[in-house]
Amino acid sequence: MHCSHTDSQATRIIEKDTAYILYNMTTKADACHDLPTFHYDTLQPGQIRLLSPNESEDGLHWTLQTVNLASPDLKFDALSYTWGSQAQTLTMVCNNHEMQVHHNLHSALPHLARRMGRGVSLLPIWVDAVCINQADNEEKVRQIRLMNTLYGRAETVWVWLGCAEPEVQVHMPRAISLLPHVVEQGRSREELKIPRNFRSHEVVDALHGLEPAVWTAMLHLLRNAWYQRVWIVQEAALARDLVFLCGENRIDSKLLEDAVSAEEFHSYKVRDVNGEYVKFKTSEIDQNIMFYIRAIIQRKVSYTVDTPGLLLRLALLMDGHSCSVAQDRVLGMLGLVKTEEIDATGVTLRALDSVATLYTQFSTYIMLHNSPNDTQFWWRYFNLAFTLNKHAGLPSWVPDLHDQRKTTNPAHTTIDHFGREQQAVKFQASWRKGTIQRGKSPDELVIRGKLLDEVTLVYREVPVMTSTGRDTEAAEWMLSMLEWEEEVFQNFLQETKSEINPRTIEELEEQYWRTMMANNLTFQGGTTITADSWKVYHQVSKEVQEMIKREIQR
Amino acid sequence: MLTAKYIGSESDVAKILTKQALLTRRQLFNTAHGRFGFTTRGVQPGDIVCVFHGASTPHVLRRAGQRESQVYQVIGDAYIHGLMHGKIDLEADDIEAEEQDIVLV
Repeated sequence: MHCSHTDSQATRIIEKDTAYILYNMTTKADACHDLPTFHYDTLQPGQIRLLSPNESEDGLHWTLQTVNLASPDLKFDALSYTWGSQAQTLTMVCNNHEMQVHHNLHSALPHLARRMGRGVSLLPIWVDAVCINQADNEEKVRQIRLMNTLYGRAETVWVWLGCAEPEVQVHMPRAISLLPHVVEQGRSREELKIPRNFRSHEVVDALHGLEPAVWTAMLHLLRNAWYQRVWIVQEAALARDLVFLCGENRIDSKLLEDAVSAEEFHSYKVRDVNGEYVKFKTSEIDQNIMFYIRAIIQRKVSYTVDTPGLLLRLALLMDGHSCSVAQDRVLGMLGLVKTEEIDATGVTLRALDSVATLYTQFSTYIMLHNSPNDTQFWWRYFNLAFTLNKHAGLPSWVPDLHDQRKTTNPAHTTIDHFGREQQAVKFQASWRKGTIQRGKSPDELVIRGKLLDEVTLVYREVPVMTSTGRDTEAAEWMLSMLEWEEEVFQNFLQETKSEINPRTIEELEEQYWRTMMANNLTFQGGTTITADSWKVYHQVSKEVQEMIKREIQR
Repeated sequence: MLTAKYIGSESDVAKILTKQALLTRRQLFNTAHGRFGFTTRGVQPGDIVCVFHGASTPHVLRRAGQRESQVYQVIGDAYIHGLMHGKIDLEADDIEAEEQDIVLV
């Protein structure tokens, strides 16, 4: 360890003819190192930087060199990882200068230095936090154009899954050896035709009586935070060769893919070594998404999807994925577009472009290059746009792709969803051929259709279940729903009575109660709601309201 | 659960209440032509009902800009009774209104 005893060094150099005084100041930040802070030079178009390790008696140091991506002799690897906690930074020595990196990357460095490369020498590796000058927004945006080429050209893309806590990490080799049994478990369920997610499903012997920490280690592999990050989909999908690293352990990507696909831990009925049932939560996202996109890009599937189709599917699949800034929602997908085709998408990729501009350009590209007649996904994307409190500046037809509230709010379902429960009720308001065009300005979209009616009366909003913490809150919500419905029904009868074209009371009421259920009247078990069910509902409603009011007052 | 206490968990009444819970954060409305439906919360009188060619559901629009400019904001997808299943015909529909290019902003 190098320790300097003063915070600064001043060096005077006196030339023969003239006096030059040079002050060589070190940074005060870390008193135990005497290395200067790393500074980036400017990259020319088409250039990237690559990291190579040097292990010496002084420890692990790194060299950062600038190269031309197009150079035919160039061979390199790339890293895919989550930046993780930004709270702590640690020092890395790069070109004999000091650089600060975050914990997850720092933990990867010794293992990256010892990768088995092709041939004898280790290939240099591309790591975004170090190889891109994160302080230079212009450079960041220019490097994004190269992502498709870069990850496709890398000899191997290494995925760093991060080290678990030491008491868990020690079980990682065991956890990896058990992954084939997770795969076996999934296959046996399929063969026995047991429905997926069916709880209390017995598991294969090899998974019984394990240390709890072994399960934690398996979850670390199969539900790693890495799967949740927006960027990783393009990084891993484009990789010609994909290898997973967890500490010093390598995991074969086919094994991991099969295990991720088979994993249904929350349905397992299995005891650990202490005799306790192991408890699992359901997964927050679908870890298969990355593998699915990779299979398409690597042409392992029988159908082809063009780039706009791919981006449309990704936009719909990734609403559960996370990224730290709104721009990353789109930038993290653009790597799937070939470098030479990026301009054709209309996404201008200027550092100063607002989120609204980026999202609008992206949505325009997706909606004009996918046909609303050829894919169900087109209208599903369109219907994402109607969340409340959208990001400022977005046109009404552009979804706020960064709004993750919808994943936690089951109440934000599209109208299509109401019809999907019963195939017979599936909605199709128009069978005409959909026509979408550009408008006169970037904020406009033109869709052919018919304007046919106007809203005259709006009813009070449906009550929301609020968490008051009181144990009467469920009863209060039920009371508010019953009161609300009674009010709506009374207003409805009054409003529709004064019509030019009179209908019978039965017809009016039928319009009412069918709408209240989105015409979805059949339940599991075969019961169907009818006009009589609603008569009973209205009769019972008043009684129940009184019962609840008395209950709450107590 | 709560419903069991007051109305029996298997009763039709309980089922109806479960369905209605799905309407949370939506708003019901009447229209000039006697239609009834629901859409995104925040819908207002004067908003326009539209059916885009090829769409699975109707949508509700709001005039934006000056009255003459004829540009619209989309408020939301909608359930409107009677409009959810169009005539199965690629060339024509039975909606009595002029078809037009609708400009969205």
